Amino acid sequence: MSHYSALSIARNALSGHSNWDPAWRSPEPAAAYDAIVIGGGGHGLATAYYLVRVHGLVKVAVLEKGWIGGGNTGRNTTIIRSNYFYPESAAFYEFSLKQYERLSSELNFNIMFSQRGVLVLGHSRHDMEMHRRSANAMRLNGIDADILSRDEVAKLVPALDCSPQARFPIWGGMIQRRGGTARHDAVAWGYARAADARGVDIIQNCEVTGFTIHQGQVTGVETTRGAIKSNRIGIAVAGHSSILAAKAGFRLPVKSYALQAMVSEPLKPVLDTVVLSPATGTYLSQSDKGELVIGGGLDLYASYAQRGNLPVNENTITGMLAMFPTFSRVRMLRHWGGVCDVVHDSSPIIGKTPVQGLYLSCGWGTGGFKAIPAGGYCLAHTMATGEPHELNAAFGLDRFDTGALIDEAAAASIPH
Amino acid sequence: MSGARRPGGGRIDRNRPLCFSFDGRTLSGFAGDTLASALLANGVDVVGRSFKYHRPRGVFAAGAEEPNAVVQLEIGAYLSPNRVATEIELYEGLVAHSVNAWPSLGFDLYAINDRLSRLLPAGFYYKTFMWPHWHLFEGTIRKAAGLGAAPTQPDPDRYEHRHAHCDVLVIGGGQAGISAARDAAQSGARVMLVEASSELGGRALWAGDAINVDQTENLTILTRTTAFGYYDHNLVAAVEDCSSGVAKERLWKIRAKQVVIATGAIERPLVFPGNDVPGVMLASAVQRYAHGFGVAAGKRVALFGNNDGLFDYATAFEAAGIEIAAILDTRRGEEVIGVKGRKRVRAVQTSRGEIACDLLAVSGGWSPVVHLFSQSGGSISFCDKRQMFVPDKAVQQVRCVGAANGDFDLNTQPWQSRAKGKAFVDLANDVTAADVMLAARENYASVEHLKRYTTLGMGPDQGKTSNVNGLMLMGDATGRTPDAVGTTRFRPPYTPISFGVISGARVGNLMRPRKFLPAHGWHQTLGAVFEDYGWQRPDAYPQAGESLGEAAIREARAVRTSAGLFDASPLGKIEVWGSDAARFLDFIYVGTMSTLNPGRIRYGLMLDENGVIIDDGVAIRLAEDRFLLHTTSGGAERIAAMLDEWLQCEFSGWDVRVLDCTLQWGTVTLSGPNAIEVATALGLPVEALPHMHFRADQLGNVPVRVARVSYTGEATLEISVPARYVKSLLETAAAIAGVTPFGVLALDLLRTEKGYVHVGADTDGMTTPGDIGLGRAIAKKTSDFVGRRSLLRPACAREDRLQLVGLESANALPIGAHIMEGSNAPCPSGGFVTSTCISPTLGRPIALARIREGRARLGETVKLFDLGQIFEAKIVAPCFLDPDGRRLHD
Amino acid sequence: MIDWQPTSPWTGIDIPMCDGIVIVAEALSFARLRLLPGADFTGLPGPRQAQNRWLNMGPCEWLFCGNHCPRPDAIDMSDALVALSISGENVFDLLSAGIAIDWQRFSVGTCARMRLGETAVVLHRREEQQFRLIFGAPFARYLAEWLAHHV
Repeated sequence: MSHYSALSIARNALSGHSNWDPAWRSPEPAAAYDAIVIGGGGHGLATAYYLVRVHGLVKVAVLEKGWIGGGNTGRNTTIIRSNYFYPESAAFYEFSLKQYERLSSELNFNIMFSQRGVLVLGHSRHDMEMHRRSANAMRLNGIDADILSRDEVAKLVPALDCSPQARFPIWGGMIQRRGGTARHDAVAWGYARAADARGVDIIQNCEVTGFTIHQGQVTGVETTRGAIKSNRIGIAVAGHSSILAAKAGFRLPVKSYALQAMVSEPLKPVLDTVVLSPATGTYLSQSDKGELVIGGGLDLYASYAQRGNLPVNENTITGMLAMFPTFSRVRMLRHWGGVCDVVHDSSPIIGKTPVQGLYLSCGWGTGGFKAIPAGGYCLAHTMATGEPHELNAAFGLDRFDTGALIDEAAAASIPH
Repeated sequence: MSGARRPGGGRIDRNRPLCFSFDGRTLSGFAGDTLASALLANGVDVVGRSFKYHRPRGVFAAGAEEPNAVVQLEIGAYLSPNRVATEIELYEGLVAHSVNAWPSLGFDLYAINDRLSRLLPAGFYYKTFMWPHWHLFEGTIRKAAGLGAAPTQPDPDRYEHRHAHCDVLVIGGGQAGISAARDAAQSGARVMLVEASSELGGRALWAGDAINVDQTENLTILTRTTAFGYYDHNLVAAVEDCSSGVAKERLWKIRAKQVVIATGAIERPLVFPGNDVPGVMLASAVQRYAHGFGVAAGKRVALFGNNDGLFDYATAFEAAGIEIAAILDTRRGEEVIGVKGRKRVRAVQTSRGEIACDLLAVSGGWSPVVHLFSQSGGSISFCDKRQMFVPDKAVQQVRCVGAANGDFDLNTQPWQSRAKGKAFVDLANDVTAADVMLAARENYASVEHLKRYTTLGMGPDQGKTSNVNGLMLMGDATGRTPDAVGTTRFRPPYTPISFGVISGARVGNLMRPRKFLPAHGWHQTLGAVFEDYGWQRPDAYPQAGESLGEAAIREARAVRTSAGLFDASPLGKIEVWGSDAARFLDFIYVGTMSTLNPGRIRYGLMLDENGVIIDDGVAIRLAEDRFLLHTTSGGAERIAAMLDEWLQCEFSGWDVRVLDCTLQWGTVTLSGPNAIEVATALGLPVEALPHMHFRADQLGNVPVRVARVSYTGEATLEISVPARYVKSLLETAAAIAGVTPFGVLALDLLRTEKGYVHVGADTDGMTTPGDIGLGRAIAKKTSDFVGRRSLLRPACAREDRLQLVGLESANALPIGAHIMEGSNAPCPSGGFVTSTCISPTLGRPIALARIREGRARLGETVKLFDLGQIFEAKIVAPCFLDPDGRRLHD
Repeated sequence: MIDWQPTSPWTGIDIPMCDGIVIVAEALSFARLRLLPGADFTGLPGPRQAQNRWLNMGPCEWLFCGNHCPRPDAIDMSDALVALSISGENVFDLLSAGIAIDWQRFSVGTCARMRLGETAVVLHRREEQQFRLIFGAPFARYLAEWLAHHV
């Protein structure tokens, strides 16, 4: 792939930018592949990339029913953090964050990872106790975490209402300074371009309509662009995981809900940190373009519509204004929704399925973006070797039989 | 030359002149002007600088589709960032500033970006700024990005919501909308008509005429109201700009049986080099300024277009006194290949040579405003003949009429410029035709990739004048029809709406209710310090010079030595009755309630289906078929709902009924060695009432319920009376000598000394009964109960689970400190501290913790980590006082 | 001995007033009745109906508003609930600020559970322009503030 750099831009400027290579090809699907990844979002594209880069597979395809990065990868609020409680989660998300720290240079695509800090507020004695417990867990897992006093919070986020008059007065907060935001589309495009450069066929507008399974082993897929053979198939389709699982003959403990997000009009810099309030469930940051990017809770009815309704939108905005009352006259520019695959222990499912050769990465709920590098890395490892990596061993589908759940939402006050 | 006020014409009131200021210049306009029309009338050519290249830009359109004239309105508390000048009604004393230029609009240093534009193509930031690190560049880029600045003062304005229902909602008060509304009203239906402008008439207004429609009993007309979102089940949301009244803006939530969309159409520009110079405007805007506002946008106009509208425009412009320099029709092979001028059009370079003019009116076709229709779920399709996307299949009860339905044909022909030079597709985000070509070349060919890669359509105008041109260019570049390329997804809001109006009245105390105890006032008179525990509850009652912590210790000691008084009114009180009540509670609880005798109390643990503890409390048998459940105060509503769900979904044939009576009863806790004596002195029915027994009685006409159950470790009575009498009970009890009111903090000290679990603090979403030492009760129970199956899973049987134990240490251990399973951090965690205090009774630090295999490690010394500090502690049994519970009994 | 002096949930709370709307705290007793499916419902109103001081709260659930509830199997809730009477020509605009009901389909004698602002309420249309609003006593202050904000 041609190298991206300031110099390459300058050189191409001389020819009116008419010589740039396509970021990825649009190949016709081959009849067979060594491995197929279903789902062209961040996770699927990362999986394909690691399959070729780490495991040396040669013929790999990504099948995407729409346009790559068009699902939750293109709709999220772009937060990256590893402030998790249990050692299994901490190791997983910290690995992901470490990959993010070097991803721009590895993929030669600027993903604009801004490590501006992720601050979770505390509004009560109990909140602060839980934050301390989380912070200590993180530190023992080798992850950065700090407890901030109210004054320190006020200094870090001047626009926040830290007065006693606030509806949910702030007692302090917990911050992971290495957490932050990145440009979500760039992550998908960066992985796509790097995977394509290593020979991965990215096939867009190709929907999987069924699996061919022979004596418990998967042998290929049926798609809207024809049948494609492979004995090694990974599913990374987030909110539509249950639909594909049904086609492969097994059920998942996954419910799909709409999750909304919204942006304001672009403003001059006013917020330098990612802030989350457990009292209202609202979280926000400011993008490098200047828009406030705001998220909140799920629309709590099952839906694949990729849109939510007004009441939840109102709750999220109301929650934001409870934290930042001076943003009342700022205006909402757009709001949208995605489909989140939610698992009741708020932890992902990465690993084998009841079908031989068929692997699964799902259950990312509202928190899949930060996990893209680790999720792709682990699914690739599991697909290539047939066994989970140390990092995803605890997140198998079998944990619902053994009861070894990793319930992050229950353990910490950080919503997913 | 520039724009100027016409000597006559327009729907402005020339008898009401208004003064306003823009970038510090005092200017004048008239009532009826928008800020944009007034700026044009004052000959202001440059109203802003473009987003990326900081090119001078002028007013381009006359409606919400305006991409250039973004201003900062007002200052201080009334500051409103990023307002579009075409949508601001002029008022006396208006103050506005341009945005995105430094140091000034006239002399903007960032204009260097325009010189460097070849180095700044679409998506350039993905290809660079990587080395050494993004952070090096981010600060500068952030400062350069953004348009207006956020306010820093609290919002002085108020906002409201209003729900409304109607049979027919008509969106858009132009001719088509008015017709539809009138017809529907005549048929007797309840009709609402919403119109974004201050007057009805739509395009008639652009010709200078308004249409008057009277409101009737069944026809409600809302002007200055923009419908911005179409949601499920025919809910349409609209924002009303209230010019008078207490609220500034009102959010209407309108549920209509049928919706008629009459939102008209927006004119498209043409894409050619130089098409962004101030003085290049949409032809319909020039017409609207001329006849709607009495402003000639220029003296001498060249008309350039690809449809039949050109001829009517020429007539309209001439009638307004604007000289026609030329009419260039692409269908005749005529075209503009360049524009001379930088801060104002001076001439256009055309296929017919150079033509001097100060105004270039362009018309590239029309796009029906299908946004709301698409939001409703309706599909749209591209009509080749009319060169527009039109509504296709509706999914909800909605139809489109008039221009919004594409009901017109101007013989529009597609045209693409082949001339060299910067031709802008999206003025708001500085996206050029070359950028679209670049996106096609790099295979960002899907319409959504095109948008995200080039940022086309992502500005405050959301691409109203650029999306269709952009996708048509992409189609040309990749051999696809506009239908095949498709549009990006339409999302609310149609135009930006303030966060304040979305939140409405839910600010401050109205954001979420606070719950106050029935005797709140009494606690206040005692100097209680309150904390929000779901209810506002007294943490403690500090006396003069006492800190909160000192007060809590004093109160706890009073409980241990004499008697304490606690307001436990939020205690959950759920009545369960029926012939199957006992059987039902055996299913709900870990313990067995069917063997409880009337008048007896049993500790009750409730699990969820994962076997995790969700509540602990007691169950009281009132009679053979009647129980009273005391749950945690936070749990009552949730538990009552959970019980009802089981009954309705699984056991609908059982004779059991449930009622949450928490709010009916106020509860007072009397605890301490003298508690029984005090209760007797009060005349309460406590004679010979053993621990874990219950008695109900009547004192006069006041029903009293007494449960002898303890959370402090001392003899304790929980006395419930109807909430209206709880203050009397508290007052009288507090007046007795040796009785000390105590708060939540003291209660926490007392129960920690006893090792009594606080669900949610000592337990979390993974804790099972075995973890807190109650595993044996489960092993004995043979009947099914909620969570039983999950407890049989291997993970619940493991020996190395976190188990509740006590900790003794030299220094007080903070809650949240972790046990270290290694000598230095980082190392694995072996559990954590869940409760802690300096014991008021023992005078030394004690703590509760959940520690891996804790019960097998009594006596062991462990190291703990807390934010870099290391502690040492000894694992002990989780009960520091009176382990046999002798103090509970007489 | 205890001198039982009842306190009112409205103590220290100002009930707002304005033109065109009259808001009054009502002194009422309440009782909740739950029956099993298949029990005898004679004399009790059907879904969303109010009749003879009984309000239907949903399947098999009723609320009695008044003194001397005739059924001993109903549980006294007089201290748990409070009621406001809201009447006047502007009552619909006021309530529509927080309630999404279609008044044309909520005729005199209708009652239902719904949200007003952030609380659960029972709304009973007693006359053309008169409503009774019933809600949990701890929310008295909140509702008074809500009404004050909107009148």
